[in-house]
Amino acid sequence: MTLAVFFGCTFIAFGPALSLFLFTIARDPLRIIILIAGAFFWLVSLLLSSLIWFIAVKASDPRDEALQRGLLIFGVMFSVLLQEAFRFLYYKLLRKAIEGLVALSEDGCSPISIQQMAYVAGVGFGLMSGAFSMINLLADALGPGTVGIHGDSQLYFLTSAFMTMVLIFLHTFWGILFFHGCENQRWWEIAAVVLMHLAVSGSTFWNPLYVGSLVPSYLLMAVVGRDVGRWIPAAPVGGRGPASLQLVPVRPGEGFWGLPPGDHRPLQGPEGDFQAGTGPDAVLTRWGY
Amino acid sequence: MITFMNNSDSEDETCNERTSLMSAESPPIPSYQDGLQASEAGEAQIHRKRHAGSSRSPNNVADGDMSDSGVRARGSALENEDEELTLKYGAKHVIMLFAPVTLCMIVVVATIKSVRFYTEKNGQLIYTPFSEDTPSVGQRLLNSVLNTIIMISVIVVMTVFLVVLYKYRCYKFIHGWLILSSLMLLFLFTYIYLGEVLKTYNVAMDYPTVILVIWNFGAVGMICIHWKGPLQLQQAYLIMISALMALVFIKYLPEWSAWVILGAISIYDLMAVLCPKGPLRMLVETAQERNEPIFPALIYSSAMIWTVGMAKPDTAARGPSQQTWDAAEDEREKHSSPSHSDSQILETRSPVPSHPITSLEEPEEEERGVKLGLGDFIFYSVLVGKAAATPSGDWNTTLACFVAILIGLCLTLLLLAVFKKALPALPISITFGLIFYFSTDNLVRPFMDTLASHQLYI
Repeated sequence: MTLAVFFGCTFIAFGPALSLFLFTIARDPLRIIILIAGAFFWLVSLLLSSLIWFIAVKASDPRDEALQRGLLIFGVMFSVLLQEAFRFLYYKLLRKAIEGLVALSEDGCSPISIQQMAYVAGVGFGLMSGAFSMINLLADALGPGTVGIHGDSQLYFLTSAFMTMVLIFLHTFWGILFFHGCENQRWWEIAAVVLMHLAVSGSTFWNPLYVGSLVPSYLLMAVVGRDVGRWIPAAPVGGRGPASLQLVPVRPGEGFWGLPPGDHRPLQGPEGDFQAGTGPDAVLTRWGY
Repeated sequence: MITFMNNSDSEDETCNERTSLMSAESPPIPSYQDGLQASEAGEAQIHRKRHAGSSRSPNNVADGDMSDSGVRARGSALENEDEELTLKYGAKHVIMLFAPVTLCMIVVVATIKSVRFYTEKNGQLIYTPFSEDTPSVGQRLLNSVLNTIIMISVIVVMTVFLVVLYKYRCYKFIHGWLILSSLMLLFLFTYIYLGEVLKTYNVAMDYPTVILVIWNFGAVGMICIHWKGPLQLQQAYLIMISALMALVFIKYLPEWSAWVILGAISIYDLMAVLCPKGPLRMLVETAQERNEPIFPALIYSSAMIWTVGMAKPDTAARGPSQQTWDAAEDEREKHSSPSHSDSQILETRSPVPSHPITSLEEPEEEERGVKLGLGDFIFYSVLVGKAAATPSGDWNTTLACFVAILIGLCLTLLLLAVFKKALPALPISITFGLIFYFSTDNLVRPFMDTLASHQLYI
């Protein structure tokens, strides 16, 4: 317990997400707003699902353990479905926002693309989800105590931190995948996201048998992460040209992302195909459509 | 608690005077305006900003417009560009307000969670005389509603008094009142705060050190807020005094009364700023008629001057120094006596664009800041602080209220960009905050606790 556990678990759970935030989102005010709005949408979905669960619990017999467990499972599944529904609503809102931004801009190009919005929305959902799961635990970890003194798992804090991290990453990937599916009318991608989310939440029912929940979640994250990266056609980290995989160093003065903040429009070459910008933004702009 | 009456007296009314958000982002010249909605308002506000004066209309938030001469030179062709620029930079303005609001809330939440003093009940303000220690729920509710009525009436009376003072040009009185209240905040409340923090962490500090620290803190604060100072230091002091005031409210307002007061004050804010005969609106309009700036010392200003010229790489380097210099200019202007003539003001203003920039003749665009009244900071922080002070110690509630308030602020700024006139900043944020507080505390908390006890993830 105390500081070591607190800091350790905080950085395990939120370290990668914080780095993502600092390096890709913090510099652009529009992205920060989209992040917070994403967090808000997740929060509203949680609220509604808690309402349903609360009503169900109050209407049922509190002594019936099996029923309560059943209601909890129902609550979890319903919450997952509602989160995905709100992700869809958020997609609709962002689509409208892009139209507004395009109308307001000088050159008919939105300062931020739907793919970047997808990424930021995913991070927003993930961060809020992780924060709600983890913050109370962290506050308790700061104080004195012994973990698992009544026979529960002693790895509670550690596994919670790892689970939070994987969920944040998964939400990010799901955000990108979901928006990609919505943009291109590929309903199977949307269904895949919903099923994956249900699967991950369902796997947590194996806890404290952590091999049943953490391991599959990490495997899933690796698979989804690799696929999200692979499906984006030949996204180079640096370099110009449609399908080049050359790595060129980021030009000095352009910062980590290669492009100055606010200028993340997909670049279009004279032949009409997309050129990639430099930096990891290229991953998000180079979608080939 | 007689000792708090004096400062609460002035603080209450100042707090509630300062609760609105206004922007004037359209170009200033009336002759070039063809039906742009708030162009007159925009121009009047620009005039107001230019003219010195310690006029007291703290609740309205004007856009920080800077040099007028440069702007005048542009003409109507740049109107639409201006509007686009406004909306393009809108996201930046939102973040410029997110950061201080977040900082104020963090200070308040950190204090509430660590220093026991602010969650202990040690009496009530004289404005909330009805106690909530009653056995029945109905009685408690009635008492809290009565407390709210008294509090809001006091605020309305103070506001009307202020408008009357302003109408009859009693600037010295208003100025003296404000100085007195910031003296109280910067010295007395800081002393108490320091004492409680030291007590919490069991750190000993001798009186000479305390006197030195408080004297320096307070004196620099008075200078920064009421006279000149670096913009960031002024912003920091405004955040600190808002946090201190919010902590006082959190401590001395009884539980239910605090929530009812939060709700009532956002309704009051809505009416006072938007109704034609609302006191705050009359204040704004009087200030506009007289072409005087709304009182700047109690408004948080995120204004910056950016001269975006052709030499783009220099902008970043120029920006901060420009900003600091201009803040000094701004402050000096604001606090010179109202007898300064327009020409003198213009003179002071015109060197601004050409100051440390090299003699590049490119047209200058100015990014106008957004201003938010300190009362808004205070009530946002009261809401989040009360959420943090819940006996259950749940952090999710605090986080939910925080996100709700930020989204409310974002929506308010969006409306500001659309309507371009004085808007109350409290209603949307406080409504969202209240909804999320009660629903998270009562609905989400049991759900998340049950999930956490089984280590389930959604």
